[in-house]
Formats: sequence, C-alpha cells, structure tokens
Amino acid sequence: MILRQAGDGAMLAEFSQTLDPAAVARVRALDAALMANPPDGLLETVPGLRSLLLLHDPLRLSARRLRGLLEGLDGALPAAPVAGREWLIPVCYEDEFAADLTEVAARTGFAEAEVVRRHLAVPYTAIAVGSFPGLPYLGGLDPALELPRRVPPRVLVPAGSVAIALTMSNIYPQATPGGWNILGRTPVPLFDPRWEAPSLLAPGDVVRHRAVGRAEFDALAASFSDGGRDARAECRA
Amino acid sequence: MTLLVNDPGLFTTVQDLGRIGHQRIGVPPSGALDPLALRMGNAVLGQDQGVAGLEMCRVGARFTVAAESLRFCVAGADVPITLDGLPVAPWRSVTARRGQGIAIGRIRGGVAYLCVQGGFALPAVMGSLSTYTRASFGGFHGRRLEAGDALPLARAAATEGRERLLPHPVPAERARPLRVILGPHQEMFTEAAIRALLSEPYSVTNNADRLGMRLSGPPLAHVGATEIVSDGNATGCLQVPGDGQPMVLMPDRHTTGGYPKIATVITADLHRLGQALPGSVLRFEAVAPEQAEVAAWLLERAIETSIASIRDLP
Repeated sequence: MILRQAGDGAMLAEFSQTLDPAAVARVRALDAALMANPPDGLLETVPGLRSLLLLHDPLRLSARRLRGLLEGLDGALPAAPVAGREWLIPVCYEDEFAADLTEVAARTGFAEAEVVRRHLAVPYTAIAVGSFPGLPYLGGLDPALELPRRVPPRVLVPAGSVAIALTMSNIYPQATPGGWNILGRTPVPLFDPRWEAPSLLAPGDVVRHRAVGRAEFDALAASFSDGGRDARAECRA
Repeated sequence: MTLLVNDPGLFTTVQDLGRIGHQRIGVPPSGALDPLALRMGNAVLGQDQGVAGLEMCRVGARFTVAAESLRFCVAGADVPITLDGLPVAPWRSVTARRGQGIAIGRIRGGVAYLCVQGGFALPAVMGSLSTYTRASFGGFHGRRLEAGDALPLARAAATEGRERLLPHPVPAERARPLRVILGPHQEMFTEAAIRALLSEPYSVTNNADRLGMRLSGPPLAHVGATEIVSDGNATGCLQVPGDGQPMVLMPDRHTTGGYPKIATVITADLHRLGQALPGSVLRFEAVAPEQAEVAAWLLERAIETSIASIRDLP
C-alpha cells in the first residue's frame, strides 16, 4: 500500500499502478474495514479501480493520524468481503444500438455474433462506480475483447450504452461524452436520485447480461419509465 | 410564499455546503464554490451556517418577494445590491416587503450568495439541497434558475427584531498565492514542472465552470506517462493532461479521473479558489499537510471572531 497525500482533506491508499484483481480485493477489504469501524473525522471513502480515496475533515482527523491508522490496518486486512448482490441486465445488441460492434469485430478478428457471445458469456464484477453518477466499471471482460478507448472520444454517448475498453465493460447511465467501444444498449435505468440507494449497482456487485431483441428492449424501456416495472426488483438475478 | 425570479443572472443555482457520502456511487459533492461566504451570510441571519442559499456566478439575479416579508443577506464577492432601486449593503440583513424587488448586479469576483431567513422549502436529494446540473438533480428541479421561476420559501414572513450587520468579513486575500500540497502524483512530473507551478502565474481561461477551471501558463511536463488508471478526485486538485495545461477541479467535478494530479489546493483556501473567474491570475505556494491543518484551524478561529463581531443595527 502506498499512501498518497491528495490535499489536507484527502488521502489515496493505492494498491497497484495498473488494473489488477488483487488490488481490487485489497481496496474492497480496506473499504469494508473502514466502513465497519469509521474513525472520527472520516467523511467518506471512494473505491477506485486500484486505490481507495479517503475524504476526511482535517480539523478532526489529521493526515498523520490517518496515515498511522491506515498503516495499522494494512497489515491485518481480512480477505475481501463476500461478493455483492447479483444482477441480470438485459442488453440489445442490434445494429442501431451497437455503434462499434463492426469495428470491434474487425479489430479482434471475431465475427460480430462471436463478440456478442463472448461479451454475454462471463459474469462481471463492479470494481467501482464513478466518474459520473451510477456509472459502473465492470471487471471480468474476456481478454480477447480488450481494446483501447476511442481517440478522440465521442461527444455524446447515448444513455444506456453498454461499452468496452481495456479490461472492462461499462454502462453509461445518461448521455455523456465517452470513449468506450459501444456494443449495445440496456433499457435499464442505472441511477435515480429518488431511490433510497440512487445507484442500481454498488462496488462489489456481480453483473451478468442477457441479450434481448428490439421489441423486448422497447417494452422494458417503456415499463421502466412509466413505473410499471422497477429495475431494482426486475434485474436481481 | 415564494421568491420570484425576474432575471436569473448568468448562472444561479441553489447550493448548500454539499452532498457528503455519495462519491462511491459517482455523485460529486457539489455545494457552494465559496462555502465561507455562504456560512457567513447565514450567520448574519442568525441561522445554521449550512442553510442553502442562491449562488450567483459573475452576474447577479433580480427577484420579487411574493411573501408577507423576507429577511435576506447578500454575501461573497463585492456586488451592487438594491431593494426597489435603493442601494443596500452586503454582509447585513435587510427585510423586504411583499412586492419589493431585490436586484443584485455585476459581481466583482466569482460568486455572491443570496441567503434568506429560513431557507427554501425544497426537497433534499441525498441529504443536500445543492444543485448538480450535469445529472439534473438537487436544488430547484436540478437546474439553474430561469426567469419566471417561483422558489418556495420556508417562512411566510420575517421574524421581528433588529437587522444585523457583519462589520468584519473574513478577507478573501486575492493577492496571496493559493496554498497547495504537492501530489497525489507529483513524482510523475519533472522538477522543472514543479518549479514552474510554484513560481509562475497561471491564468483562468474561459473554460471555467462548477466542474473545473482550465488554467493557462507554462506547460507542466510529465516525466513519462500522461495518463493513469483512474483514481479518486478531491476538490481543488490540479489534474494535468498531456498538453501540460492544468485543470483545477471544482465541486461538480467527476468523482474519478485518469490524469495525473500534480497538487491539491488546501481546505483553508478552497473558498478563495471558488472566487476565481476567467482572467484571474493564480499563483501557488507549497505547504506541508501540518501547515494546511493549522491554516484550516486558523480559518475556523477567524470565522468565529468574525461571527462574534456581528451586531444589531439601531
């Protein structure tokens, strides 16, 4: 663990410089240990892809004390907590929603159907939720589908887009700029500030995808938006 | 009982001291760019320092009082204020009657706040009234104010009692450098880059909003990689993309980011950073965490002293 000073009210506990499952496990273990027994003055913790950011009140918890506390915890971290909740998220991979499927197929050397099959075949774990409200970084992508982000990024990626880059898959909760390679789209809302827990997914959750056709996508989108279905119940595996 | 918006100014939003505890699901803190000014405005009104007020950026707004009466205080950067056309001072309470117009003019700095007695009757989202416009939640319908909006007030009328004045606001000290703690990724930059950051001026470009302010100055060179595997952001950090021009992240920032961060503005100077605007020239000075903690403590003592100086007007 490397402790990086990120101001007087923030510290990064870094476990790796790269994407690394062992680091993810240690981030989760440290996060769980701090959540179970939060020191006075710790405001919140933010699990990242390889580090945990700790935000604290410098008036109540000094950098020196926080450092000592984290070094003490690091030697005695338990194994990562059990996996989170399990979800089954529908994705429509049809052309209209799959802006980059042809290019991903060309670059990986697979047929389009094989790219989709490989994307569907594995369970993903939400390593972190962030940069934007409700946006999950899903680890576990088939290594044969690893590609860099697009340069330049798109000015606007449609809400619900399911996309891949590096070793991860993600889902855009709302229309934002983005550089990931788009394979499909989900009708499932990922974030709603009216929900008690506004993000559908939390760090540690396990996500599987299932393919749906355009008709089912439309029906689901309509019933999620008019309240006929609730994503929090509908998508639990 | 509402406050009617006649002219919303340039970018006016409801802000409190921020939304704590949701960055783990990608929700930034938002909240006042100059939290000190908001706290002091509320203190003048004799209420909790975290009551949400209206944050006005660069150009103030105009309102009409649609309640029996309303006590208010304008705090923050210097700005002309009138009540039915007659000038009133900032940093003091003023009571407006039904139908009177409150007009706040061009702000001589980044932001000013309109604090109202009792606050606004708006629903908290994730524990805060702060507006986060990028995801359209918090504050007034998740957006900046528009002409014609009627902001619901919590109180129908002002309380009895004398008006109050804050004679000695905590100074913003615009000329002093902003204090930073180097890091979290200072080793990814050349020694010359660190020297430049701590000695050269960096001006705020027009690309500046509540998410962040892009700065312009001598380029800050990376030693090697110009990107990192994303990690968490803190408000006030200076991230540096490949072109070497830093961007300082503000309260509506992304919760994680993939550019190395060379330094972070200390807590005690975030309110000064929040008053910067396009054209502002920023200078940076490095301090140790212990010095930053002393600065945070000293600022709180200065706030207490300033609040203790609030007195009743005749």
